[in-house]
Amino acid sequence: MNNKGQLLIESLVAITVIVISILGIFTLVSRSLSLNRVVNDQYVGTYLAAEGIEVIKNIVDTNVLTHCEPWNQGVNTAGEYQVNYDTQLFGSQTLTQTNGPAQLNFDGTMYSHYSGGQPTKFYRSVTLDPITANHLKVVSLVQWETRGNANFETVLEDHFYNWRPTGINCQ
Amino acid sequence: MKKIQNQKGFTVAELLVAMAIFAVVISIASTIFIRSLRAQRAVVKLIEVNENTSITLERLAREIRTGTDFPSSGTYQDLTFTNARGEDVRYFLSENRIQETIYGQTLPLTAEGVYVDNLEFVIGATNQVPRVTILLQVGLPENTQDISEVKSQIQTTVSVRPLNN
Repeated sequence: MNNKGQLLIESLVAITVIVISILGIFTLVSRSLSLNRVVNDQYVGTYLAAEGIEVIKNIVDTNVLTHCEPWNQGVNTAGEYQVNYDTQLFGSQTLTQTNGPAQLNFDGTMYSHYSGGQPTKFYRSVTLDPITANHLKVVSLVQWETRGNANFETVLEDHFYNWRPTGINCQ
Repeated sequence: MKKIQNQKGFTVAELLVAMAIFAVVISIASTIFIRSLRAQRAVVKLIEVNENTSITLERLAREIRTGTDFPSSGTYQDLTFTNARGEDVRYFLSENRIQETIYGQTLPLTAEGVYVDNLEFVIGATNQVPRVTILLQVGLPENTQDISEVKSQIQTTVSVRPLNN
């Protein structure tokens, strides 16, 4: 007669254990859904960082091959710069300096630093570091914040060299 | 009579309460279980989207980087150029999948469950080494439960390596 209450306690313990384990599984799965958004952002951020490097590479190649200019014309000053997908350095055009990564806007199709688009969570800067007259170090940095205020960044680094004497095979 | 009364057993009320509690617990558990299953399926699909996007962009970027004969500057939804092996390659979007035409044969690059909303190529100015910006909007089909609004907008630029100069 005295151990009548034990059945209740036993079942309470059993239910608690079941509830905790089910909740654990549920949290795991729903967290993997939200983590997937984080992964998505990392993809976007990495491609945006790669774009910064490619644009500088394009400027270097264009200097040498298309304009018969010194290879590092316009990219030989150390500093942090804003670079867009269509940034060119013909003639007197120069890169826009920036103090820390600048916000990218999205105009419905493209990301850029041009005004008029919807501000995105992505910030980008391209740092040029001319190590010698024949060696340029480029660091492309993309930063963003996800929900929950976690900060993420992608840093890509590349080195470009004076790969061809000026004026050879120049069109 | 006394014997029967002393026997242990359930009353109807006890039985009803027990069944009600059981039903509630089971229904909560099964709801959570079904939702977890659904979320798991969604995660697998989203991973597939990411992997497809990354492998397709890799291929596009490689072919473009070593390609020649790009169209003049502008925005294209259908890009044709000559690749490093001297063959004509064409990339375009059809039935929400990225298609590649090479050797006169068209095959999709992205899987069936991956929903590409938009594919565009922006070719830069002509007085520079060719520069191609690839724009891609990718996600899951519109009718996917819960997560169809997760769309990634991807942009990257490829500078062509002028191999023949």
